[in-house]
Amino acid sequence: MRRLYHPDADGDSTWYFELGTFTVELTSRVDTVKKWIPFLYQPFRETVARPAFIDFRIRVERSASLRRWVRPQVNFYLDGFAPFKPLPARQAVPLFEWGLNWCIANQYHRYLHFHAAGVEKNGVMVILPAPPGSGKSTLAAALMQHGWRLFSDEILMVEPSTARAIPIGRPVNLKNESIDLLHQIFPQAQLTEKFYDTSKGVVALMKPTAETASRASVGAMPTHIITPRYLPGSTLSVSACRKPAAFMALIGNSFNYHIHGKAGFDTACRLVDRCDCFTLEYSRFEEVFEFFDGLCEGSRGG
Amino acid sequence: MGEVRWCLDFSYVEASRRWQDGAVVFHPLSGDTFELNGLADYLLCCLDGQPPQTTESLIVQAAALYVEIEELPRIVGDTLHSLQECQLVRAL
Repeated sequence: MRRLYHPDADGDSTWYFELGTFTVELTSRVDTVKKWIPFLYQPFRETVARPAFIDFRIRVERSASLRRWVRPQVNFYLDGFAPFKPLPARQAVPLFEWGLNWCIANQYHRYLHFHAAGVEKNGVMVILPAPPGSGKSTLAAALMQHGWRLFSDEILMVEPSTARAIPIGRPVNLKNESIDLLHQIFPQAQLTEKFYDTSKGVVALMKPTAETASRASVGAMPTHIITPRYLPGSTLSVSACRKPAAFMALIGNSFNYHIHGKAGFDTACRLVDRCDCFTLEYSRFEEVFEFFDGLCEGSRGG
Repeated sequence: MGEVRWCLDFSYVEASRRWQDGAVVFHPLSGDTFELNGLADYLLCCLDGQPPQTTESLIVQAAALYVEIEELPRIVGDTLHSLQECQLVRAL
C-alpha cells in the first residue's frame, strides 16, 4: 500500500491509498479522521504522485443543517452517494473503515471474497473463515502481533485464476473486551482511542505492523483453512475437517461466490484441494501461537 | 408401486469435485452448490455410467449411512428424490 496526503486550501484533507490492487481517495475535514488516518496508515510508504485511477472516491463529512451542532453526525459518501445512514460524529474513523469494507465487498469483484481473516508466515498462509462474533479479528490481530503477516481481518481476497490470496493488510477492527485484552498482552501494539456506543459496541483500530505494511503487495498461496471459534475457558482443540464440509463452510462465508459462478466453484475447489482443513477451538493465545508456529515448523520439515 | 427410471442431467451437473470423504456439485442454472453424501455421490456416478455399479458397493455406501439392508430401496428412492429436487437428476 502507498499513501499520499494532500491538504486543501478549504480545510479538507485528502489521502490516497494504494491497497495492493486498488486505490482509494479519502477526503475529510473531520478532526478525528485527520488525527487517526495518518496514524493508522503511517507504516505504509508514501506515494509520490496522485494515482492515475481511483477505484473508490470516498468522503467522510459532517452532516449539514442543525446536525452540525446538535448531536453532530457524519456521513460516508462513495462517489457522492451516501449508502448508509449517518453515524455520530465521534464514530467517523470506524465509519470510514466499515464503509471501505462495504465498498470492497459490494463493488470489487475481480477477486473471490471470503468473510475471513488471513495470516502468513514463512510461506504458510492460513485462511480463517468465520461468521461475525467468532473472534477471528482478535485472533488475526494477536497473530499479527506475534509476527505473522496480516492479509486481512475481515475480507480475504483470492484471485480466481490462480487461487492466490491477495493481501489488503488494513487496520484491524477490535471490539469490546478484545481491545484491553490485546493491549495487555501486546503492550507494543498501537491502537486508536476507543470509539464508544457503535453498533458493534466499543471499537478501536489496531495499526498494521511493519511486516504487514512492508509486504502489502505480496500475495501467497493458501496452505491451511482453519475455522476458529473462541470458547471461554477451553483448552486448545484442533480437529481435522472433512473437505466437503470445509468447502461448504468456505463458500458459506463468501460475499461474492454467487457472482463468480463456476469460476468461484473452481477456485474454492482449488483452495480446499491444496489446503489442510481444521476447526480450532481456543481461549488462550499461548496455545494458539504454539499451534500456528508448529504449522511453520511442519512446513520447514516437510 | 410403479418403477421410476432416473437419468443424470448433464446440462445441470456442470461441475463436481470428489474427495475421499465426500463430494460437492455445482448447479450452474441456479448457482447453487450442494454437498453430497457418499450414497448420493455414488448414485450420481452410477447414472453417469461410472463404475462400480455392483449391489455390493451400493450396500457399502448405504452402510456408511447406517442404513439397514431392508431399508435400502427406500433410502435410495429418497436420495434420488432429493437429487431431483436439487435438479441434479431427472425422473423419466
